[in-house]
Amino acid sequence: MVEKFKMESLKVEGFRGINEEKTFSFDRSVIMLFGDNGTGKSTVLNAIEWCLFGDLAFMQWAETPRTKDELINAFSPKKEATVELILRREGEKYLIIRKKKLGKARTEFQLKLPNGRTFEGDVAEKELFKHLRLTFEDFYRSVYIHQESVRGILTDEPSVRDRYMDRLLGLMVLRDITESIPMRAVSDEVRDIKDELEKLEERRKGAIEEREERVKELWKKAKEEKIADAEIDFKPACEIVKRIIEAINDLEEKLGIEVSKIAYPTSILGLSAIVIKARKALRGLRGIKVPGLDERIKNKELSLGLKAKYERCLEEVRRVEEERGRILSKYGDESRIKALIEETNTRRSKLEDKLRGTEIDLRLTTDAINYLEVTPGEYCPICRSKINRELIFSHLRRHLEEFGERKIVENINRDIRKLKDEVEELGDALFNFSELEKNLDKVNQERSKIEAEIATVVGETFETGANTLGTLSEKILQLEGTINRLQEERVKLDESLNKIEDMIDKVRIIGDILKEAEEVKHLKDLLPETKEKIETLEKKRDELALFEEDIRVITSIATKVQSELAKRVLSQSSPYITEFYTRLYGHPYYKILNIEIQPKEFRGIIKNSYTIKAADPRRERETVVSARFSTAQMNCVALSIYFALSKVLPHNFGVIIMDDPTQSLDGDHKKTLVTILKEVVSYAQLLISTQDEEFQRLLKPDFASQQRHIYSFANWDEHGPQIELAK
Amino acid sequence: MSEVRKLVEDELRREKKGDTCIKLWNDIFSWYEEGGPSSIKEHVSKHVAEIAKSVRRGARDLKESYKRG
Repeated sequence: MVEKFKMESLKVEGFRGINEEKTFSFDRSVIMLFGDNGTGKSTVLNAIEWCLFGDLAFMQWAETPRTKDELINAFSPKKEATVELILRREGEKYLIIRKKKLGKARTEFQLKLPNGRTFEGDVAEKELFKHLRLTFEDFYRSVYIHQESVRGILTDEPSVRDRYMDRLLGLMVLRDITESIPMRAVSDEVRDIKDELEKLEERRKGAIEEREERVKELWKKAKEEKIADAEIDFKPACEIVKRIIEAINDLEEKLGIEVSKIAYPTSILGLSAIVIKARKALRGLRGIKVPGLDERIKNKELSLGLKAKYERCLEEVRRVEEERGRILSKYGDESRIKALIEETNTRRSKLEDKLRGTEIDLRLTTDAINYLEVTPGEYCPICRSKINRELIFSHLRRHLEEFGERKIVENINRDIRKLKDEVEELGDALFNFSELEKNLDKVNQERSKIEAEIATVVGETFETGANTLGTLSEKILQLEGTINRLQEERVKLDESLNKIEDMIDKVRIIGDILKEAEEVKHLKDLLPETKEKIETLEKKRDELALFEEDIRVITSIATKVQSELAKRVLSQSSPYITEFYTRLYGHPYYKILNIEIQPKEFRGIIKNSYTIKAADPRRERETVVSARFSTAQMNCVALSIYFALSKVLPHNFGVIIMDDPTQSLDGDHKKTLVTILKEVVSYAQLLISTQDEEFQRLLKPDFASQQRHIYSFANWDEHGPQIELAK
Repeated sequence: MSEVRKLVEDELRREKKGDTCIKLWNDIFSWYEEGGPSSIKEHVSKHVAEIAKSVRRGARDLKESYKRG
């Protein structure tokens, strides 16, 4: 039988609670770590776990989940953690070194074999596995007996508990294998590949059908466009292309623009290129303007405008002259009107003088009558001569009546008003005459200006003083004639372009039909080759399906073997389990422990499922341990199972690490545990960490000093704990 | 461990599974011995991915030929 690995020594620096370098000699069967809680005992156990696997299963990396810097001692001057573990087997030493720097996620890992070969990184990890046959989970559940993990066997969820049990039964290889085969991923991939190939086949059929349908549609369109069946071929299409190119080039030459270089097609695909180029040339031709047309249209519009303007000007001249003539005939010219005004004013002045004398006469007569009427005297008031009052009175009255002086005043006033009106009328006439003279000058100037513009439009044929309107009208007629002729040319050009466009459309439709038909033919020609390729792919698909089937069979057989082995191991270890259980706890009624195995499907894989039961010796009554037992009882059950089954551990690491194994156990249980440990040490190296002083006292006398090392932990400070090796 | 390997192999033979299946089992076991569970996953995934990739590439080429055709 090959000897299992044991620990030789451990060197720790900058790791968790240990800052300064500490070396532990493990060259004994039993290593005991004694000390109060928080003095660094668990750091030593963690150092072994981390050195072997680079991780700590129970650690919560709350501060640095990626780099896990909580591993490094907070006071480490190097800011790095180093653990060196020396293992020993058959007298040969294996050195394992793991280091980690602050802020780095990866650890540096090295394995040195007894023959001097050194491995690093992932290669070293794999090499170590080859020797130890120990996975991380394996270590954690069957080497490092943490109280939490022991209880896990009994209390965790079924799938986890089943894993624990499989590992304790030495079946972790098969469980690892069945669990690590990515069955679902393989099945998904096989299904995807099958789907992909089915779709491919559908696509192949679809591609031909789709194109045949398109050909039909294009033929229908060709009929609508009145394309004869005989034209739907490459050669007739080339004939049309030839006509298109000739027509385009003719027009380009005629219009004096650069001739487009369109190459004749040499293949069906070339027809599409021709269509694009011909359309481009056509767009260029459509953008071309008929020379002189726009200029003439502009001239025509200008001439029509000038004509209307000139006609309005002539009408104004006529109106002004007519008005001027009317004034002339009525009043004469300007000097005559002025003379008439002067003469009329003189007459009015004389009448005004006469009016003033007549008014004095009238006033004197009236005053004298009034005087004589109110004054009875017979003397003249001026010369005081004696007067005949009645006679004078009579004369005055007669004078007033005879001369009708009041009427004379009215007549003179009327005549004066009449003369005043005449002067005003003449003044108006004089003003109007003057204004008309000015207007006439202005209108004549405008007329000359328009005539100058007309001369510009009409050109050399225009003669000053000739029939301007007639000449202009003639010019307009001439322009209209030219415009009509040029517009007819434009229409003809557009007709030509439309014909070319029709031909291009025809070529496009023919080209599309030929191209699609060609593609259908191509796809049909490809059929044998495609089928062959698909068959090749189908073979690969079948290979994959067979692989899937094989790994399914392997998984199934491995599970079957696993189940049979579990039953066999349990059958073999059953007496030990009951023995350990009876010794550790000694339940008054449930004296026998029984582990039942049932197959259970989990994510498509059949696995062992375990139920731990306790029964009376006659097996008349039994109970599920996890449902009925107390924590202390469960610890005893778990330890019993563990110790019984640890005898069948299949890995090569002959070490059992126990972290505080006496939780909830009373004194008698602890004594029994020590007795059991004395038996265990015959096949495994023991590393026991405990703060339980009673347990420490029980352990010491039972292991001879040559057989054990006791390290005492105390007074932790920033340098680390004070550790002493008991002598 | 070799006992487990042999037990499964014997069972596969008893069930009259072909040589391919038995070889695959031995390969799987060797992968486990080489690098643990992750090694099995790596090899199986790689093998499946290689075939799947080859089929997909072939399928893609064919699809292209339909388009080009």
